[in-house]
Amino acid sequence: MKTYGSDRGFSGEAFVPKEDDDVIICRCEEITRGEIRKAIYDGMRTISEIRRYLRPGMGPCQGMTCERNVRGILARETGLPLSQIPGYRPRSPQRPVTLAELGNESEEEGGGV
Amino acid sequence: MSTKMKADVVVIGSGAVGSATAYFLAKEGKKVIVLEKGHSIGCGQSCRNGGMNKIDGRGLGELPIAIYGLKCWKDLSQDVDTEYVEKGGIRIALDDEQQEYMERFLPFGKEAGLHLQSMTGDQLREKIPEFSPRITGAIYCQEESKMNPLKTTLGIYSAARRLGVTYVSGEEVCALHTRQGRIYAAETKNGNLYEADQILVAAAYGSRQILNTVGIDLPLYSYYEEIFVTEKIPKILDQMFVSAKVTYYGEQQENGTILFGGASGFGNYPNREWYPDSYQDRKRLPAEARALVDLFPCLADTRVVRGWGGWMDISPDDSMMLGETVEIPGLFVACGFSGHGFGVSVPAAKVTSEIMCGKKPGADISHVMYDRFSKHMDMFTGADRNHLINDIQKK
Repeated sequence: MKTYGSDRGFSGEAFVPKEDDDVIICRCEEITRGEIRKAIYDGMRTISEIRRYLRPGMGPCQGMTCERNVRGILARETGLPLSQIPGYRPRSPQRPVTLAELGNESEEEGGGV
Repeated sequence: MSTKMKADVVVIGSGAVGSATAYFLAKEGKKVIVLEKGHSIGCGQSCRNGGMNKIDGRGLGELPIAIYGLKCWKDLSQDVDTEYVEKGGIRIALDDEQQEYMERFLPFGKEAGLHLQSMTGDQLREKIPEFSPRITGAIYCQEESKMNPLKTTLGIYSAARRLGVTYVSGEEVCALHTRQGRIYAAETKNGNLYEADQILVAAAYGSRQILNTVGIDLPLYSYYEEIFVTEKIPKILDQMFVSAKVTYYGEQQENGTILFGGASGFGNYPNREWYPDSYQDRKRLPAEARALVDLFPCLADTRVVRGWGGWMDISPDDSMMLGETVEIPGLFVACGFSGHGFGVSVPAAKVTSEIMCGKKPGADISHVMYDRFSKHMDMFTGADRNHLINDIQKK
C-alpha cells in the first residue's frame, strides 16, 4: 500500500514523454507539465520536493494558480488520491509586500502589522 | 509489520551532508540506505538556509574543510546543478569597532591561503554603488561563494539515487544498537531495523537524541532564525554579504531573488516542543526588512515574497562536529554545523566519506572532532549570536 512520500524506490522504468508535456503549469516560473513529470521521475515524490527542485509555487503568486495542478500531476504519477497530497505550505507575507512597507511598524501613516 | 534491511552504510538524515556523504560513498561502490524522518528529503536546514559559503569569520577549526570545499564544490557541480558561483563575499562594518573585530581574522585567513582585502566604505561603494553610505568598511574574501540550496540538496539526492542509494522517508530513527562493541543497526519508530557495518548520524539536533541511545552526548543547543526571499530583480550583486559579527547574511541568487536573514533577537529560543518549524515571529520580518533596506536603500520598493525559519544545531564553539566515535567503532557523526553548514556541507561530506572508506581525509579535521568538548571543559565561549539587527538602526 502506497503512502504519501514513501515510494522512493527506483522503478527502473524510462521516463515516457507525453503529448501535453509542454503545457505551462506554473505561469510565474514558466514550468511545464513535462518538467514536473520528469522531476517526479527523478525522485521528487512530495509537493515540497517538486517545489524546491523546480520552483513551481515560488513566484509572486506563491502557488495560487498552480498548486491544484501540481498536486494533480503528483497524484496521477504516484497513484495516490488527491486528498492525500497536501498543498504548498502557506507563509507570511500572504502576498508580496515591499520592504519599506513591511519594515514600517509605526502607528502613524497606516503602518504596523 | 516491521522489516529488516541490510546495507554497507546507513546514513541518518537526508540533508546536504547526509545525502552528499551517501553520494560519495555510492561512488566508492558502497551500498547505502539513507533514512529521513520527515516526509520530504532535506527538509531541515538544507532547504532553509541562505545559500552561501562564508569562509571569513568561521571558527578556525573549520577553515581546512572550507578550503577543501573550493575543490569539492566545483567537482560536484559537474554532476549536480548547484548554481555554485564563486565571486567572493563581503563582510560589512558600520563602525570602527566592527572593522577592528573583522580584521582580527585576517592573519588566520591569509595563512590558510585565502585572498582577503580590507577596504573602506567608499572603496566598497566604488565597486558596488548600491551599498548604503552608512557602511564604514568591509573585508572582501575572494573565495567565498553562493549556491542554490534547494537545487543542490535535491540534485545531490537525485544523483545519489541514480548511483543506487536507497532513500526511505517517514522513517524516524529512535535508537541505535551495537553488537560486541561495534555499531550494528538503527531502529526506527515504525519498528523497522536497518543493519550496517557503518552508520553516520547527520541529523542536526536530532543527532543528539539518537546518539544518547548508545551513551554518547553532544553538547548542541537548538536555535531558531528566520529568513526571507524577495521577488526576482535585475542583478545588483554577485557577492554574498554578512555583517561583521555574522548576525545577518544575504545574497542574490542566480535567478534574481535576494535571500536575507539573521538573528534579530526576537524569539530565537521558542520552546521547541510547542513551535513547529513553520514558526514566524511577527516582529522578525519587519526587523529584517528594515535591515536590508538600511544596507541597500535602492531595495525599498522591492517586494518580499515569502519568509520562513528553521532550527539550527549550535555547538559551543560554533563549529561542526565530525569523526568516527571512539566509543563505538563504525559509528560516525556529522552535525553541529551551527547555522553555517551549507557552505561546507559538500567538503564535510567528502571528508566523512573518505574516513568511512579508510582513506586519509582531504582536509585536516582534527580541530572539529565531535569529542573536543569532553577533552577540555571550558566555559561556554560561543559567539554572541544575540546582536540585535536594531544595532544598525542607530542613526
